[in-house]
Amino acid sequence: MDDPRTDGELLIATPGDPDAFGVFYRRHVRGVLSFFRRRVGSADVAFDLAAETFAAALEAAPRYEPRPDPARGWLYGIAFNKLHEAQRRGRADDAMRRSLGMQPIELTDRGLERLEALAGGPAVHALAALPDDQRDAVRARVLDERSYDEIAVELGCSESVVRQRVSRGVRAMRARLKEVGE
Amino acid sequence: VTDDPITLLERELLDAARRRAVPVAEPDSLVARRGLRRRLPGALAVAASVLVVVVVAGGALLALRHGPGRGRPTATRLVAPWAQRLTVLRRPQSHADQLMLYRDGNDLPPGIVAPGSVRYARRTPWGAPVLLGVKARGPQRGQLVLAMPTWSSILQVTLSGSRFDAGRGTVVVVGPKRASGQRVTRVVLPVGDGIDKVGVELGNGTPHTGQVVGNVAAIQIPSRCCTVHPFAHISAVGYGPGGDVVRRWRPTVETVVDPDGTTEN
Repeated sequence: MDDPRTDGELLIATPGDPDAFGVFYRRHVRGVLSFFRRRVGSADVAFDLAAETFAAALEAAPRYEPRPDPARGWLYGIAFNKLHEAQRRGRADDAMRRSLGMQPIELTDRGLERLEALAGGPAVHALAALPDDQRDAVRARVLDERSYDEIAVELGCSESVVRQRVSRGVRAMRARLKEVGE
Repeated sequence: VTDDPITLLERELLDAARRRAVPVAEPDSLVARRGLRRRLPGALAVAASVLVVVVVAGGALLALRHGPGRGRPTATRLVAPWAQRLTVLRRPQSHADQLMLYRDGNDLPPGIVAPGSVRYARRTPWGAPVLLGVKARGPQRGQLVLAMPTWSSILQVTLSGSRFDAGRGTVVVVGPKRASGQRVTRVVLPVGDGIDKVGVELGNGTPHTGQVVGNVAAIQIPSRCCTVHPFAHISAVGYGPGGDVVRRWRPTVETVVDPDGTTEN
């Protein structure tokens, strides 16, 4: 049965009740993994960043204070920082996991498959398989949530062309996902 | 033995959490206060208590006089001008609201709304979460947006000062096709407190009504009304609990979301 406590309550309870962090982790691991998978090239790097994010969250949990905002935003704030840090350094860091004494996790082929499925990998591949013009349009509209007119200016075409590209791209992605049984 | 990295990571995290676990102790302030009481004789303890009360009261008075401190988070500053405008929508989020939005796997992309700036969170009557907050990134950064995950995409409405107040800021969602091939169409309107039911009239003058749940009215429109976009001529009436008319307005149609994946503004 799902734990009725809020995310904030789980984080506050963590220092005295380690299992509370387990509940928090299970609640968010998929979302965090997908968050990274959409932004980095492979499932193993996404997993590396997700692991570092949760380690940092565990380390910071004793300092978490109740707030009116959802704790989910706090977690994704850490995730954003980890992503920017990794982009700046050119690699994912493991400092937080080492400081917590966590063992490195070896990823098997099956494990990678599971991560890919969990993080929405097929959708990422479907996006990558689109022609350049459609991929740019779908990414700008759907992932970056930008307006059609703004995308049109950037891509040097009319708004209706952008709409068509987005529409075709999404349709092609849907067909591809159907093929692979997603 | 498992090669599931998610389980392995959970195990590592829990081990680390157990190593760091501390026994639950009394808050320091309580321990200190009890120690002080033990050490001081009765009269002196009373004097010390009076002094504490005076200091705390003085601090509170100073804080009231000088207003909010300089170190307030940016998100709060950004949203402050909106807070007054949106008072009727700005209900404090209860735990139930937070659970609703963040526990059951609603995958709201985290960048849409700045962490710490959520001002409104409810579910529509058919279960879709609605979130109002300050946009964290992109060209409209800092603007207040209404975010709502739909079947295939995220619908976002920017709420500009001149076009939104309680009862306006309209979202029209065109739902998925039914088995019959017809579409279910719903008009979604955030409304202010005190409105229990909303009636809308489309271009053809036919009235349709829907109940308000958590400040969101959802009115289902028969598919035959919606072969074109008649929503440009929509007008709405808000009814109070007794059936009396609370307000009338012409909502602004901001966005139409199509479940096939295209979004039209």
